Amino acid sequence: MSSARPGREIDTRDGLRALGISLVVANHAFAAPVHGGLNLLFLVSGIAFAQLCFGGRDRSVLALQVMRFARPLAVWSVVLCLFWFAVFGRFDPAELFMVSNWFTTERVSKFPIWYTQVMLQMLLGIVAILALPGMLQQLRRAPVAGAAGWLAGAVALAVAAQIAVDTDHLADKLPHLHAWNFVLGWLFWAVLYAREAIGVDRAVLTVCCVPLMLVMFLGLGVPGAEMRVWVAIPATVLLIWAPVLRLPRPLAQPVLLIGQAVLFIFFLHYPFLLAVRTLLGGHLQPLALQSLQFAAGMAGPVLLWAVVTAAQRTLAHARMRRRKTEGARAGREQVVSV
Amino acid sequence: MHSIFAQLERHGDRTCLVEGDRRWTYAEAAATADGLFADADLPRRGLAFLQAHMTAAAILAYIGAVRRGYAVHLLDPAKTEATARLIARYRPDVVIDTASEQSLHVAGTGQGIHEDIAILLSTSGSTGTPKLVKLSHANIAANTGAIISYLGLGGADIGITSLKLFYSYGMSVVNTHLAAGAGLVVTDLGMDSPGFWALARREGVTNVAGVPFSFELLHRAGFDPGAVPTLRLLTQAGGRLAPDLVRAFAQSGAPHGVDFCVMYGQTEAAPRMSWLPPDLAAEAPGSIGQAIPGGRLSLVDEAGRPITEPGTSGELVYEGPNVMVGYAESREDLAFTEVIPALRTGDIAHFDARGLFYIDGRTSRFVKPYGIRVSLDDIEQSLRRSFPEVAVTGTDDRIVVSIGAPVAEREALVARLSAELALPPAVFVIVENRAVPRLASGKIDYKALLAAHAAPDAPPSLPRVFLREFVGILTGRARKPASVLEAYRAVLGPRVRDRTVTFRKAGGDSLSYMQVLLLLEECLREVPEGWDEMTVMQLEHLREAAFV
Repeated sequence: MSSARPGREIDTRDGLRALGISLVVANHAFAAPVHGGLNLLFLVSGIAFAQLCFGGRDRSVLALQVMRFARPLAVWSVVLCLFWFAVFGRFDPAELFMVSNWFTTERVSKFPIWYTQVMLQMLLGIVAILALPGMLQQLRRAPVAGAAGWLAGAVALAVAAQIAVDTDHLADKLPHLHAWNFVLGWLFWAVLYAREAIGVDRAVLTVCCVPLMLVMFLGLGVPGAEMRVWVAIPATVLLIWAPVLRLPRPLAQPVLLIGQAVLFIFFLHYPFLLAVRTLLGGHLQPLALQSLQFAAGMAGPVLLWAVVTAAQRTLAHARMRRRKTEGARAGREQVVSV
Repeated sequence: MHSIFAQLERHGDRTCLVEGDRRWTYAEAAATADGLFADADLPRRGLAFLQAHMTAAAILAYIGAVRRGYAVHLLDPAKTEATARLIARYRPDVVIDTASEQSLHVAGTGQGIHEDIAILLSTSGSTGTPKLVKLSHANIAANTGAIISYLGLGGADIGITSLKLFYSYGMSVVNTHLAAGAGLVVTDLGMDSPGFWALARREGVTNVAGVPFSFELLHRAGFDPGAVPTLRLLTQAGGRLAPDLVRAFAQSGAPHGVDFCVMYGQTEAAPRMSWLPPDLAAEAPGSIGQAIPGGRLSLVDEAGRPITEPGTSGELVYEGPNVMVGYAESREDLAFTEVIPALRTGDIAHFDARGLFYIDGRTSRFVKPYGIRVSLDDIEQSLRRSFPEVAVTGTDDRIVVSIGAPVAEREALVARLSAELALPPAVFVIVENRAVPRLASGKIDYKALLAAHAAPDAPPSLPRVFLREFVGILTGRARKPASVLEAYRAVLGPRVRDRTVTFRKAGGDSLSYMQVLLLLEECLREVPEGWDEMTVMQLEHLREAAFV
């Protein structure tokens, strides 16, 4: 069963997740801003969301599915908010209730809480609209047309809002300015994953989304727009045309680890950055310090994730062992027939 | 020779098969089935291999082949490698695959096949030597008639294909319904799929057949027998269902007029040997019941003497007109049939004062890991060519293969056994013994071998497990499946070619369902309903769907 070709195949989405979160950490570790990471995460999130809520056979209530999607993000965010409040001795109710992005770019919590806030606010709006009669069924019945319609709506909303209301002081950290990026993921799901995608599908998707991303990044005037263009567009095109990547094993394994540990890295990279900065701040050249901060910000949470995952598997192993022993004890007297 | 399908036309315009929007009357089905074999170039008789897809086309081809007088072997379409080996060994005259462009492939002249042989089925858990059970027209007719009689099947009934056609129980469902002039809804959906029950409701299904895993899943899902108003009968065979579940289904079905009928059998008996009258299911839920009409169950002790006392255990023996006409291991074996007066089942049983039988266990040369009945003697025989000093023993947890020489490719051997028996690799333990332990009589000392190796290794301590998992996660060599793809491949093997397959398309069935589900529970935070109809790739992305 093992492939004769060297290296290991990974899903390109795992690669984009890894790239996306790496850029987020780099943005906090290095002095020069690094943009585009969260755009990739919005896109891949959108694909996963669509898969969960519109694809699959699970027809349970949409709100429950959305809750399943958002729960880890929301729970971790609240817990870490409280932690940082305790560390800094400050309490911000707007931040705790995930709405501070509407008031200020300042934050107490040392993680990109605005992403969580934008995501949760977006999901609330999406659920409200999908609750309207026929909206959800339409997406499930005609996913491409439905997703394209939603994308058009999200783009229109972003553009209209930018024209109508001045929110520059809040940077771009508002849900209506990112919804298009998230819903673009729905279109990717509809074209590439909900069915067998052929070359023409991929070509059309490329031709549609490249100009769209150019217009949205440059037109909306988001910070670091050019860098987002250079990062997000090539990565998106790669996702369209190469859904699976074959990487050398020494590269594939770290990419997979980072891709799996995204949640941990997102929430916990800052303390590791801070630790390196505090301990070594005066002793290293700036670039060396920033590089070390980046490495710690990535490696620390990944190791922590590996510890937690190993612990979960160990507990599951213990549970199965206990179940097997109890079953074997009960089963000894039992009968097996054909 | 008179096949059970010889007189299908007498049911005239009654509905025979339903598949989607398409319906066939009995007259149409007979005509269509015969039409498939109208080609003058086809041999008049002979051996036919039929890819037993769960489709009306395959069932019509099955009917046609049997009516024509072929000895029909029903193949599992997912087992392409095993099929290739079977074709090489048995050299069928006709190969039928209704799912391919060339549905009929003629390869022989039909010589050398005994006219009495109707059906050939694989024995449960057969291995490298593909042993087939020979069932005659008389076997099939007798068993079909008996089942129709005790289940009360008739023209008003509508069944549904809840089991694979190449499985003796699934074949029996098709045989009985068609012979009784009942309708049959054809579907590939499993009993655990909501679509299955919606279809059953829509088509007015009256009876559904299932195996223990199906009923366990239904019970977990809170199945309501009243959900299908036309349902009158649930039948269960293919293994032991826990008595409390038998009782639960019997009691929950009673207010809705749904009977629960437990049955027992073996492929070698075409396949049914006993049934538990539904009115006794709640009282005697652990029983396999009484012999089917025309059959007889009895017990013998180790010396072969009949046991007549209730409560005394012995090997269960069955006699009846449905007992096979022998085994075949090559085409040459199909030239003759045997008279087998009694079938020794390999199961240990006793009967109570009412004459109801209860299975107590199994003779030592059969084990049943993951519900798959495996003959240890068969495994031994299949390995003897490569390893003359082989001895195989085991329990329901593990199969110990003792090879009397260093095993250069232990993993390859495990992989081969795992694929042939459809069991997870972890079931097999390969040990190298300089000499197989023997008794003073010269016979292999299986007890000693079992005692030395059957007990699982002392489980590693939890800190050790943690360390192993931690290192495995970082290096990508975690022993638990690191992905859905690995979980699928661990159970279903090379049938899982890529991430676009679903559990069903990869040949997953009710037996492998639980194995895969347990592994998926380790991969995913939550295993969604209907996971078996999602592709591997869709499931992979649920792993991280909570965040991205």
